[in-house]
Amino acid sequence: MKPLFKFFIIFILFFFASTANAFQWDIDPDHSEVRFEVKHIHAKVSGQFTDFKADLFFNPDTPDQGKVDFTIAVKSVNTHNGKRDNHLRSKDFFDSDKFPNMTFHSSKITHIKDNLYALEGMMTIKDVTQKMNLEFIFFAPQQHPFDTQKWVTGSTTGFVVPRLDFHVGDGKFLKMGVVGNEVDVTISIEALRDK
Amino acid sequence: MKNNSFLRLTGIFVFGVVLYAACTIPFYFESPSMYYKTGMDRLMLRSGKIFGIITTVLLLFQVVLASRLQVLNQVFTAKKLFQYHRTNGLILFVSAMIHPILILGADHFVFFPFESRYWPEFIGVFLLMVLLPFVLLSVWQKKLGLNYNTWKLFHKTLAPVILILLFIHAMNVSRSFESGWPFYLLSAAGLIMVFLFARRALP
Repeated sequence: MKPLFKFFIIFILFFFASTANAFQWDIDPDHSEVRFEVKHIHAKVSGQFTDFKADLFFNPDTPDQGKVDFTIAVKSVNTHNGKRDNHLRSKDFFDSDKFPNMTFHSSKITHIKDNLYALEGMMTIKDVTQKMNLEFIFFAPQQHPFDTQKWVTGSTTGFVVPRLDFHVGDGKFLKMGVVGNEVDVTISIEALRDK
Repeated sequence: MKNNSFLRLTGIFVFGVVLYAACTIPFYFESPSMYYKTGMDRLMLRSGKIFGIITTVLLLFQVVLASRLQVLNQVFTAKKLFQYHRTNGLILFVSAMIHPILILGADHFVFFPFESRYWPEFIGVFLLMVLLPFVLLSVWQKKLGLNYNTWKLFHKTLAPVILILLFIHAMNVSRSFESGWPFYLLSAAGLIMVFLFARRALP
């Protein structure tokens, strides 16, 4: 019992120490979006995932102590076409009943230059987990114009997900020249924290 | 008598032609949802649409059979029309139950989320929920000890509700009925139903 208790105390201390210098931010869901765009024959079709949550710990002064955990509910896909969205939820693409969430867990955050940062972590979509290196812009926190008791910040990132690498589709629609493999993802968020 | 047989055959032939023509809609007026289905999924989606259309046509015929049109009474007799109405009701009920199974099966039974944009689909679900007691009470009216007049009132009240829900569902759930011939034919069928109901309801 004693070693277990020790381990528990050390774990708790380590956990809090690791993010102690990073501020916790709460996503403002009304002003945050997860958008994507994929080629359809000639045009680009765009959509959103409207249900997502994140644990954000970040301080631009100590980026190495920051942490980003992102979870997106696959069922919330919205391309403004109900039937297409249900097809995207099916086994042909996301198989949302079996794999309801897509996740990203950061492992390292480093400063590149100015307000640009590098984010390293593991992305899980369906049954595939892959290491991803992303870049994001972190906008300097400022007092919220409508709530003087809060800080507001923003962040934006864009990256490409090769959907077939994550088993989102079996390549049938790519071979037919209908749906592209590269999915352009843009995540734009506003986050708040108490002063 | 010979003349009646000819008219009876003509009536059955007209019914067959209408049903067949309606079943070709998913082939000639394909909705874009069909494009992305291949193999078994495509077969299921198209069959599901056909079963939906069969249900619609049979429901419309139910009204015709129950409308006590003199010409139909003379050709088929009231007793026969009642029998057709009963049998047709059971067939359309089975067809109505198969329709969502095939449609959902084409998307590997991923049920659409409870979002307002899926309202035409939810009208369909509600329609099935109304249709179920409607048919079961008709089949087991005596077994359930339900008074005939109570059942009749229930049947006559709910029938127009079912038809209205059917039209709302059919007009909005599929792109096939958004415009063109399917839209005009469904609208015309709707007007005929309104006429038949008004004819029975008005003194």
